[in-house]
Amino acid sequence: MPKRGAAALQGEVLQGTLDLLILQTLVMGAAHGHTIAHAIERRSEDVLQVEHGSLYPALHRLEDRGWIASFWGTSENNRKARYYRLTPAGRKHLLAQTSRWEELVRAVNLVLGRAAGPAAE
Amino acid sequence: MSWRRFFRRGKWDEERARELASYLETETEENVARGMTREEASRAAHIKLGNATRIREEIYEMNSLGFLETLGRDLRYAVRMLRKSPGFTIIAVLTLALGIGANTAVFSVVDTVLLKPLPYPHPEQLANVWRTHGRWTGSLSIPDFRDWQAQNTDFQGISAFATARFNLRGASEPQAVEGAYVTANFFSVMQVAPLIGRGFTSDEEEDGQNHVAILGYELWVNQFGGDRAIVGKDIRLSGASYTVIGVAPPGFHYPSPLTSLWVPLTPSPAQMNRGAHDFLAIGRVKAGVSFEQATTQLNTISARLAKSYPDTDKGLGALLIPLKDAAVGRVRSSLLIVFGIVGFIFLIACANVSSYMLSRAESRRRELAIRTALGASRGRLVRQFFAESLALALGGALLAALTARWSVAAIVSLASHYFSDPGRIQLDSEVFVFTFGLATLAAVLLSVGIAWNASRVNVQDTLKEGTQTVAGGRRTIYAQRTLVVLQISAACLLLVGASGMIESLAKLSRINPGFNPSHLLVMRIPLSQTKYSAQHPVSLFLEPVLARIDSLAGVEGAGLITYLPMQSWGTNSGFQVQGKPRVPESEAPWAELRAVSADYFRVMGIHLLEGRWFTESDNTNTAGVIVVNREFVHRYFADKNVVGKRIDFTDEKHWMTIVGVVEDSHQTGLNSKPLPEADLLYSQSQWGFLTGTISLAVRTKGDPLLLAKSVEQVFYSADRDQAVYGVKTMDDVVADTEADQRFVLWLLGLFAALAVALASAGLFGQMSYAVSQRTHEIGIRMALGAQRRTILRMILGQGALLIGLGTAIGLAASFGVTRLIANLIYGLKLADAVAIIGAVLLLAAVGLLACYIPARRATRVDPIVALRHE
Repeated sequence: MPKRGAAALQGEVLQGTLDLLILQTLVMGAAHGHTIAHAIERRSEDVLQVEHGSLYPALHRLEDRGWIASFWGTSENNRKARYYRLTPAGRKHLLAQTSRWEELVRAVNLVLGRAAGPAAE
Repeated sequence: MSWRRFFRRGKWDEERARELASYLETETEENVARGMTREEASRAAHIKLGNATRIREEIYEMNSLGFLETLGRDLRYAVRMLRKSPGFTIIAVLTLALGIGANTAVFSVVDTVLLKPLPYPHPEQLANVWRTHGRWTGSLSIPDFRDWQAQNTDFQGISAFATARFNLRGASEPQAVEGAYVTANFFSVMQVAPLIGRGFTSDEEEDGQNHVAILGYELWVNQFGGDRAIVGKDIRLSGASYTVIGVAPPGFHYPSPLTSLWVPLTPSPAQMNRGAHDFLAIGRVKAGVSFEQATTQLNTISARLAKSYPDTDKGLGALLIPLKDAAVGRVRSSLLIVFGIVGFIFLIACANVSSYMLSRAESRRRELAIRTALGASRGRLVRQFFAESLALALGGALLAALTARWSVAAIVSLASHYFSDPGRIQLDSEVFVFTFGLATLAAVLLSVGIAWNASRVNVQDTLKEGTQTVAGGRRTIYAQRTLVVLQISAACLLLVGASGMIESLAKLSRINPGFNPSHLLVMRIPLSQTKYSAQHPVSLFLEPVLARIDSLAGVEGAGLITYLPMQSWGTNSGFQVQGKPRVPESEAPWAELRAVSADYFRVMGIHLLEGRWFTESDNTNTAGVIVVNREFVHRYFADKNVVGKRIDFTDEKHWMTIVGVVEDSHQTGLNSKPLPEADLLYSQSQWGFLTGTISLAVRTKGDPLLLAKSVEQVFYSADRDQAVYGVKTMDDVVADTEADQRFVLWLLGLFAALAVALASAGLFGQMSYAVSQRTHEIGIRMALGAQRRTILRMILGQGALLIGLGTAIGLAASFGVTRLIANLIYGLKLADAVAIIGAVLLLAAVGLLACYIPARRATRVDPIVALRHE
């Protein structure tokens, strides 16, 4: 259930950021599409409502670039499902992107902090 | 996007479909677990996922090649559309094939002649070494050559050579073989190793050891059966025995494309004279040395020589001409001009097809409007047009490539004398790449024009039923008219050029060459130096032979000369005038020198202006006499009386008296001025014999070639070893000098005719289209009382306007272009008024004819029908 009052960023997640989220989700271990989608939602406390449809092209793209690899496996309810796992290159990319993201956030915060300076307490 | 995935797109899509299906199941199950009903759960899952098909499409597209795939689809669609209008397609493809094909043919010639490298190793290091005197370049002497060789450091080697004809004793009749005397280092300078045997050694340049020969490959195969045991065997050349020491590799011909024999160069005492400039040279510079560097060095050496030998070498320098330039120089400018001309044809063809396509685009406005309404972007429409143009262009290119063999053969046969080795002109991959490149260019040109015009579709207006969209139609008509005007101007340009050439050739044929070229049989006779070295060949051999030829039936006279007019020139010598102070050799006046038989002038029909002919009383024992030409008198004696003056030629070494003045004969060609010339008797000349080859001229009553065999027989029966070559009529010789111009004229004429035909077709098409568009308007006019005559005049008037505009532009262009290229082709001056008027009238006539049919069709319009016509 989405938190009341929190603006749902439905469909507005930037492509690069979506890649980042997917990669991070896979750090814990291999997962299939459905799991990844729900994991992102859950962990973001339902703020990030990713259109699950846009997940699959993103997964395809990541696989193209060699950051994740896929294989067929059996899911929890004994169904054949396509699993994805992080590759070493993907791991490296994840680290790089994470630090960039943090830089970006810090920068934005600085600007906002300054602008909201006099108003904030 | 990986290639693997591209080829397995289908399978990937299936997997994706399964993956999405599994997602939906899982989500549905979860929803059910959350408490929804089955349908609700399924629906929620689908909403959560989004449009499954779109997802699959997106992934599929990521695996595709994008642009190429759409192009493929467009091409297939284009071909379908084109099949629906076969008439248009056939005409367009044929037109494009014409434009592309002409270019393909010329390109394959240009490619072989201009672009392919010479068949020697490191050809960029090879250059002809010329001696210069002021602005004049010429041959060099052996002492100068040896000094250049010894004192330079920039060359890997320089080799001197002189071409010569040898009488090869064959199985039956002797054959005159073209060969060359070369210094021993010749083959190493060329960096060509003999196929079998060896090259020359330096001591083989000495007298007594120089009777060795290297055979050319083709000669070896044809005359000696390719027998490997030829090395070491003896052959008879010009009456002397030579030992074969090697055979050159196939395809090696230097200095001339027919050189088949190489013999060591042993200069005679006369040729050891520093002032005897009898030889040519070719040099190979060291790797990394530029030709400028080497030339500077040779000039320095020449300056030193000028100081040491002021009498002979004052003012002499050196010039290097890279071998590539020498080989193609003459042909290059002509070929490039031809290339330019066919370029015009290509553009005209494209303009034609462009015009047709504009018409077609007009009639497809509705289709375009619908596509735009359905979401096609402008770029998408342009891509569609490009695909159509490409389809047409590729069709044309295919046709052009298929017929390329014949078109190339046609050009080669037209200009066969240009190409020493016509077989070399092949259709290889470069030609096909060029052809299809040209097709792509055509497609781009075509689609640009259409796209600009037709993609601005006003969707609303077009989709409404019954509206006459005049605005867009008018733009099309203007575009078409511009194209037609441009085509006509191009055709006019070519036509004016062609008529200019015709005129200059006609003028040429009216120039008096100074002799009577008709009914003259000519041939070249290579005399053996060794056989006749002790005594004069003229008295021993030639005089009896001449007498016998004279007595043949059908012969009116026979004469000899070292070099016939128009066949060869550049054999000149400096001279001193008795009574004037002695001038150093390099600054002395010069004249073309010829040795002749007494009857020569009469046989050639050259007029005597002053003094007398040679007579029987002039012979070996009497004082030397010479006859000079009018230019000689004009240039050196200011037209004063010269009979009786005494002249001493460098190459003759004794004083001779001028006894007569004759009319000028053009030595180099009809369109250049005659050179000063002095003729002396063979019997009194030492130099004349040294040249080794004599030309014979026989005046015949009937067709000269009919007597060729009998004349040859006279020689053969007099000396079994004596061959003759170059048997032709004097008319042929004169025609050969005009061969350049004839070639250009042929091509220009052919392409001008093509251009006119294409432009007329374009005009016809455009006028027909315009008339069909204006049917409504014409109907109104006629209903309002306009006569058929008026309509006719109106339509014809418009056509005439286009023709007039095109002609004016074409004429203006021809003035400019002629100035640009006049120096590249002899005789291409601006045509005089007559020729221009002729060209313009021709173009106007053809153009008006093309307009006439549509105009007549306009007059046949039935007003009632027209008024109902949309």
